[in-house]
Amino acid sequence: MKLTVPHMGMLYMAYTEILREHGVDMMPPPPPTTATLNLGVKHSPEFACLPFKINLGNMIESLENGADAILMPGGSGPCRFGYYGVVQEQILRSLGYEFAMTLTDNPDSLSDMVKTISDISDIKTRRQGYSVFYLILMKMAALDRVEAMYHRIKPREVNRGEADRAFAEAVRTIERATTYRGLFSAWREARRTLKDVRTDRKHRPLRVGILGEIFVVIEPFANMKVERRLLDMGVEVVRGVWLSDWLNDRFRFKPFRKNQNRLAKKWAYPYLKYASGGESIESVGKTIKFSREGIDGVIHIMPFTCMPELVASTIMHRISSDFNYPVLSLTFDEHVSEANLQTRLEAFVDLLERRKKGWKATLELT
Amino acid sequence: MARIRRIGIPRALLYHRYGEVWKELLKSMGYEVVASPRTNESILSFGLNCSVSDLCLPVKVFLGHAGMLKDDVDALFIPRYISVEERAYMCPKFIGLPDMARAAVRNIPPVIDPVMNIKTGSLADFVSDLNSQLGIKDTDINEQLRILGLPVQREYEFGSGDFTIAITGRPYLVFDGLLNKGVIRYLNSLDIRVVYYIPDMFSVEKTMNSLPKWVYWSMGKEVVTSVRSLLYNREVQGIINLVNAACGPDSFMVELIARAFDLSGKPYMTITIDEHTSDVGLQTRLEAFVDMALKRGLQAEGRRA
Repeated sequence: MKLTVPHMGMLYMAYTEILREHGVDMMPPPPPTTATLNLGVKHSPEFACLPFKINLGNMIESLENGADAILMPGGSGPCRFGYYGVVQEQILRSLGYEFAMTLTDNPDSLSDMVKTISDISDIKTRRQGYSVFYLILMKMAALDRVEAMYHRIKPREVNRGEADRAFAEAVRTIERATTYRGLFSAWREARRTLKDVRTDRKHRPLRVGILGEIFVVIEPFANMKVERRLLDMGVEVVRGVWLSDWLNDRFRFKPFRKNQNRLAKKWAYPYLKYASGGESIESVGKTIKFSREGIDGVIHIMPFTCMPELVASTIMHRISSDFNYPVLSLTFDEHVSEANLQTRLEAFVDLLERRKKGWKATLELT
Repeated sequence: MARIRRIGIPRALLYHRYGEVWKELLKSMGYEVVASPRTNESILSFGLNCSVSDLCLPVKVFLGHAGMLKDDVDALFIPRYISVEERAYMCPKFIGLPDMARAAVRNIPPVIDPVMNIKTGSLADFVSDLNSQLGIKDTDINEQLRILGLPVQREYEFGSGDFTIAITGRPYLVFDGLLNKGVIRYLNSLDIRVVYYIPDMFSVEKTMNSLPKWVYWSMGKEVVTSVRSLLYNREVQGIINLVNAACGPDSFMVELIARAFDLSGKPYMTITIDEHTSDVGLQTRLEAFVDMALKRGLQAEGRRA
């Protein structure tokens, strides 16, 4: 049985090697490309959101490559994500593919997740199941930490390209780890690799917060490498949503990291009193938080027709005018053009630069 | 806060389902209740102006209604619908609706947003939340609960004729004269009887059990179930499903209907509505649909004879 799981950012790096150790024949889908998206779009409902289409494309490509089992997380609303698997299975069956589909019903429940892992692998005891699951979580956290470090180092690097190479190497190091001990030494090594990058400590780059729907934020293909583009412009990226935070809010594997969802709820209260699914409450709460922390602006990313983020987006417009704080809303679907995106990002960064220097300096320039 | 006397209810979204109940409830508590006028072009354009461009049309229209009412009333009544039954949610936009109205409509009067969450709470929680927001203490909530328990109308019939077409879709699309682009009016002018049913809980459960996974949106459940039960309804000669563009749940429900049910037995058409749909194109499609359904009905009769 060749098992495949649709992509979500760097998540595949966290579980592939570990599950292989435990006898699962893992076959991650090829990295998403335009061809993947086109495949997905061709067979998806017209108004389905972008993650659905990319996931479907991933599945088709994997099945073409010889996979015969799919694992798809589910949920029970109110966001559409929980119903992805059902519709995708129907579409794939009608295309004539033969495969086994596992839908995890409740991604919030620890025992459900552990049971899913035990079902597909040769793990016998519950204890071992928990241990493997938490190892995957820790690995995801390590990957996220490395990426956060990279976001901080990249705009300050002295030799162009050095941070990119170090980041790639750090990720490779962590990807290989399959035990707790191995992960710990890999993490130390990765951290050293990144710390060795020569940086200009006095440099104060612009800082831009990235918020929005989690899949589109953490999957560079879905957001057309927004973060990469900003980093290349010399802007520090402060990401507000991390997959490891999302997991930590549910499974509490990082005891010293506060529950981000609960914090966001507190910050967002004057504007949004109830979490309306997805990352809406994080988007609203962290916009307010970022504006207080002196981060220069926020970019809000969401897929077209995303229901929870549209609520957040409406409210963030108001926050933007109430706090006099720049918020750029970017909507992604298969029709977004790269040139358009690049222009909007450049304009936004220019605006932030001017604000930072103050209007006086700008007036003198003109 | 100034004393609240007049409470406004926007005539949009779930007003078309629960509006009468809300009116009755607030009147019994001694308030003067005002509903906004039926959707017209100025409401639509107000809504379009104050909302984010990607929002779905019914929500934009809702914000327009809230804007129409804002200078006229002391408070707006916008309940926060999290779930109206067990095992199901409402669309996320309903959960954030009061907050969206506060954010999008400038100079909005106080919004009364009692939480309706049957999934984890009860109707009594809703009523006590409402009372505490209005500053009412020591009242007997049984009377209020009785009003909330009043049955809503479940079967609607428009026009008359030998030929019957059923319409399915969300109530706020079907019953809003502007949003439904006059589909019902036009069918009536062709001497066609139009019916709309809200399915009962039993058939919802039966339909959901036939699917791989229960649908977890109340409105989505309803649409899927009514299409399925209408497929077996002898009285109905055709089904038209009204969907608004960019509706999250319905984008999946339409796909589910097309794939999970055998639609070959009866003419079925999905009409997608957005702010740009032209009436003329729609009329042509409706005529073609009616012609096809008529022909099919005649053929079936011929076979039976």
